[in-house]
This record gives sequence, C-alpha cells and structure tokens, in this order.
Amino acid sequence: MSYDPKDATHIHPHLHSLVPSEPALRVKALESLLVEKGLLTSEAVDAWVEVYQDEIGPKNGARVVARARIDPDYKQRLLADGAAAIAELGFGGPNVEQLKVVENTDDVHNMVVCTLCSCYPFGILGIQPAWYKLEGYRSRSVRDPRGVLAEFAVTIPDSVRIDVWDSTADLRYMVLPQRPAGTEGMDEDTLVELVTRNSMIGTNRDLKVPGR
Amino acid sequence: MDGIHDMGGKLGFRPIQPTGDEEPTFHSEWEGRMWSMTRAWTRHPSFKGPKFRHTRELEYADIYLERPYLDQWYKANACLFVGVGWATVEEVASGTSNGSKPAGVAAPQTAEDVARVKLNIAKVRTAQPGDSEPRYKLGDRVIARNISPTGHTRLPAYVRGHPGEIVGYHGVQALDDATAHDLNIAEPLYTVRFQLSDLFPERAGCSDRVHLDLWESHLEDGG
Repeated sequence: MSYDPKDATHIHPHLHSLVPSEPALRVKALESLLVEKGLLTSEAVDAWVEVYQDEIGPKNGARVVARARIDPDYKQRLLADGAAAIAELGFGGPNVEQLKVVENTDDVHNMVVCTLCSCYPFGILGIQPAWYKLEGYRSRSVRDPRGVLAEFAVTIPDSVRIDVWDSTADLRYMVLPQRPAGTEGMDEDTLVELVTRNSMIGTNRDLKVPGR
Repeated sequence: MDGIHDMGGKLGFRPIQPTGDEEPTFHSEWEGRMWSMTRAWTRHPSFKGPKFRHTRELEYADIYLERPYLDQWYKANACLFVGVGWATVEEVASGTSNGSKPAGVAAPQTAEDVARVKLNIAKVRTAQPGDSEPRYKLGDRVIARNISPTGHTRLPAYVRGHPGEIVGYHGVQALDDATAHDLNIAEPLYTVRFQLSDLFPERAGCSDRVHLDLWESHLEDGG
C-alpha cells in the first residue's frame, strides 16, 4: 500500500489526540511496537546510538580539514569531489554522497543552513547542533548572516564577504576553515584538535591555537 | 507548500542559543533512540526523503514551532507507518501490536548488520537516456519562479521572483517536489547565487550572497 502525504493531514491530528503525553513515552511505545511487528531490533538501535556517539561525528570532519592542511593535493581533491575525498580517509554514512566543501579565505566566509528543514552532512559531521534545526538560525542566516554570527560572538569585517549555502536539494555542504597562524610545523593529529564543529558549519571563523 | 517550515528570511523568531563542542550528541536518551530507530527499522518502499519531509511539513504550525525536532521525526514517521498500513494509530499510541505483522518484509536489521552498513554512502543518480539537456550554463542570469505549489517544493519563498546567477550544474536529478507525490520526474539541478541586496531591502549595499540548489522548473530566463 503506497503512502500519499495528503493522508498525513488526517493521520497527524488522530495521532496527536492518542499518543502518550511525553516524547520519551511515545518513542518507547513506537520502539516496542516495531519490535513486535518484526520491523526493528532493539540491538540494532543500541548499535546505532553507539555509532553516533563514538564514530560518526565532527571529529571526522576535523580529520578531513587537518589532512587538507598537511597535503595540498588532498585539499584540491577535497574541493573538487568531497564524497570521494572523505572516502579516501574511510569516512561515510548518510548524506555525504554529494558533499561540497567550501573554503574560507581572507576575503570570503562561508555559512551552511537548511532553511526548509535541517539537512546536514551527517556522515562527516554527525548529528546537527540544536540551534541548526531551530527557527532563529534557519530564518535569519539567509537574511542577516552577520547578525547571526554576532550571536555566536563572531564578527566578520566588512572587507570579508559572506557566502551562505542553503541545502535545498541533495547536495550537502561543509566549510573548510582557514588554517590559523602559528600552526606551521604542527602534525595532523594536533591540527585535528584545533578544528571546532561550528567552524565546519560556518558559525565560527578564527580557530584558536592554545597558548596564543 | 507555503507552510511554517518555509522560514528563510522570516522575522520574529526567538534568539539563537549557541552551542559548541561541549554539546552532547544526543540531549536525552529518547532522542538517541529516535534517531537510531530511523537508521535501524525496515523501510517501506514509500519511505522516501521528500515524502518524509512533506509529512513533517503537514504538522500543524503551532506544533511545528513548539515540539522538539526529534519528536517531530517521531510524529512524521508514525504517520508513514500508519499511512502504508503497517500499523494503526491505536497500535502506535499504545505501543502494543494487535497481532498483525506486515507481510513479505525482510528480517529486521541486527547489530551485525549495523557494523556492516554504518558507513554506506547512497548512490547518486546517473544519467539516463531521455534526460533533458540543461537549459542553463554557468554564468546565465535566471529568475526564481514566483510559484506557490500547495504540495511539496524545495523552492523557498524568500527567493521567488528574484534574480540569480547559475554558478553550478549537478546533472539531472530526481525532482523532490515530484518524488514527494510519487511522480517520477528528473530535471537538471543547478546551484543558483542570489545577492542578499536583491532579496532583502535592509541589505542594500551588502555584498553577501546566498546559494540555493534549484531544479530547472524552479527557474525562468533572466535578463
């Protein structure tokens, strides 16, 4: 039986009137039901929780950024085909098959958003921040990016242009933040630690170097 | 659809509450389980991304603004399970089966399966015979169509009627607006650049830009 989203207009309120009052209770009820129906195992759910807590997260994006610092040829491949380049480092997962990496420069600062819902390159950055999914960021990043960045305590000089990327189709975006001064000679593992999650979304620009 | 979800450029929402690297992956146990269920459960062929997104868009606007994000995923996915006949509303609400099981479905994913598939990357649509040639090339001026479909669309309201420039081409891809409604249509997909100064009056003189990925039927020829 195929599903027509038009049916949602009556299923939504019907569910709303009957489901348990707390999200935790409703989610638990759904899990129990789907296990009973043979559509789910709780061990698989447990396994995915661990995957997203331990393996698939922003540390993967940070590794990609650090590799691009050390290896200029890798950086060019990353900018040309993000999906292939992250696969070279063994990364993958949802929504990175059309990954476009956009590079910050002295003249350009990049920011990524999904105004229509919350599309995000999960395979390389993990789960979205809470603010990324909410109305304030989704509505204002395309209208007042500098005002949004000010809420993140980031000031972009007038001489720097901001390029916002609204993820309206299946392409997903990741920002390549600039390499901070004072990091010449650092090895890749050290460079990984400098990269913040927010710098790969675009709500952080200048990476901090400890001791400077 | 001109619903509450199409919020790019709208004003009046609460200030952002920034978080950084201190933020936990999941804010609560139920969120982690809800997210993970969507990775783990058996999918009906009808469970396509655009259909899921449109189902969430059809939540009442006040609920859309009020309920936690993953709770909305719960609700939209519950609609899908009911909509394809795999569960009734009463079963979803109670968490207890009435004894029926969906017929002809594969065995559910195990923890071993997770280890095997966790890094899988989706296939990108390849060119098909009959695909149309792209109308636009890089540098072309276009205008985002001023349309208001009542169904699903990935053309946000904030660019409709405004001029842009083609800065990327990504081949012919399935049109989300159509996929959400079981129509099998694929069109050339472009990245289109808009100047904020063209979109919002208070950005006059600003050099900042926004880029959207739009399909050919979202666009018309520009000057």
